[in-house]
Amino acid sequence: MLILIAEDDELILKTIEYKLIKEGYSVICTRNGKDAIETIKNTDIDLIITDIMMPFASGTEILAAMKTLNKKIPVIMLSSMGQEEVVLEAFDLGASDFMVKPFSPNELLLRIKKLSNL
Amino acid sequence: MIGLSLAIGVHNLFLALVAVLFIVLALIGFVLIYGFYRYRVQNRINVWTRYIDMKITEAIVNGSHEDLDESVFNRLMKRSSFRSLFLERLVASEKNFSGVAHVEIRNLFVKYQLHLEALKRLNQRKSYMIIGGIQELTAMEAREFLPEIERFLHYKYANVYHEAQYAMVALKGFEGFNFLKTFSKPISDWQQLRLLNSIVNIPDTGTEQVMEWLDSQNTTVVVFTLKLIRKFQLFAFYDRVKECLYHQEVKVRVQAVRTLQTLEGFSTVDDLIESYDSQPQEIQLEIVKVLKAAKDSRFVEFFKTQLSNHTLASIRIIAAEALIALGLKDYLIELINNQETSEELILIVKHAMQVKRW
Repeated sequence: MLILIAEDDELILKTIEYKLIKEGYSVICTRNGKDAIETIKNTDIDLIITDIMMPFASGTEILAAMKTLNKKIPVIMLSSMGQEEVVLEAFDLGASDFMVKPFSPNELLLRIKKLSNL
Repeated sequence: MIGLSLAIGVHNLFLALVAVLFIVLALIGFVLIYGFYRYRVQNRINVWTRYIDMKITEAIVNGSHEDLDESVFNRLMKRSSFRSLFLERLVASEKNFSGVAHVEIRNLFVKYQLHLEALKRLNQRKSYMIIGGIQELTAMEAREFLPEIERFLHYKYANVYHEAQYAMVALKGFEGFNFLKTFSKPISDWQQLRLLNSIVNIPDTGTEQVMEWLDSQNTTVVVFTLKLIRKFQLFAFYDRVKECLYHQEVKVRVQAVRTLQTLEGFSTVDDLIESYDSQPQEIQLEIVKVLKAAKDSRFVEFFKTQLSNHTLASIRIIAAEALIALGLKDYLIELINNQETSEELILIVKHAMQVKRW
């Protein structure tokens, strides 16, 4: 299973990457929304984990781009406290799940497993 | 003679040019050396940051006890600047992770004795350094160092004692508010909000302390306590809050009105009406707002009187709005059409009706 992680915080990105590789997933990392959209265009991704606030393109812009590209991939959004409105917008655009920072990597793994079984 | 002085002049000019050239070269050299030094420092910070992040990542995923090779890390840990950066990264990462990951971050803090780094900052003279140390100990939930933080509760600078107050409450919960009993310095509105947000419950045994804080000579402590009563809807304090309607400070009275509104009982509006005439305009405005929200038809005459006679336009507008809310729009239209009604009153009523329509 190939998972795309889009996150501009290096520590969060590395932690999720390390955790998923340890669990046997294949991972592609991007540090901004623009690169994430490019990766989605050119690669067959099975699941996406994306931060909402990122340079060049936000998490919601990634969702909008996916809609345009007609890509139906499960997306888990990572948001900060106080971004409720953006989270609602993300669900409207087709996000599958979201987690609020601070988050538990173990819980994230459970959600990935749940989404990959659907 | 002229030739000799010309030769001396040229010689001096040459010397001056050499001196300027030397200074320019020296400056260029300094800039280059400093730039190279900054580059090396930044490069070292980047390498260390990657190294530290890897350490934190490994601890989060594998647990902090599973270290394969500690030798390089231990060597770096001998450097104060590395320890400082490590602590900084731990505090930053703590904000992003919860659950077991959060516990592992704290374990790293304990394992590498980074409290020593934070405590070192507490002994600095500069405020921002002390604040940094307090924040680090708070973020790492280092409750064992609360006595070290406690000594800053009465510090001369507000930003330092505010941080110490927040740390006490974040680490001790309601018990952390004990400093309020003797606190004589002002607590800013922002700090009050921060403290209120950091507390999630009040123990049953806390009522005695809350009562004591309401008697404080420090106005900001009383204001904060009223906000605390409001947040947790402590109905048992109703009568004590009512007494605050007659507090010497207007700021306290304003908060008392707002708190009474939250604790609203059968007698609240009557209690407010009773005190209305003896209150300054600022408090009367607060009371009228509460009465408007109550939508009680018993106060129609009261609102009519305020609308016609009060000197403060904002109170008159609220009274007009209250009358609209009570279904007396026709009365107000009649008032507008009455030839004897003053121009000012007509404007007020029209304004209230427009606001209502929109």
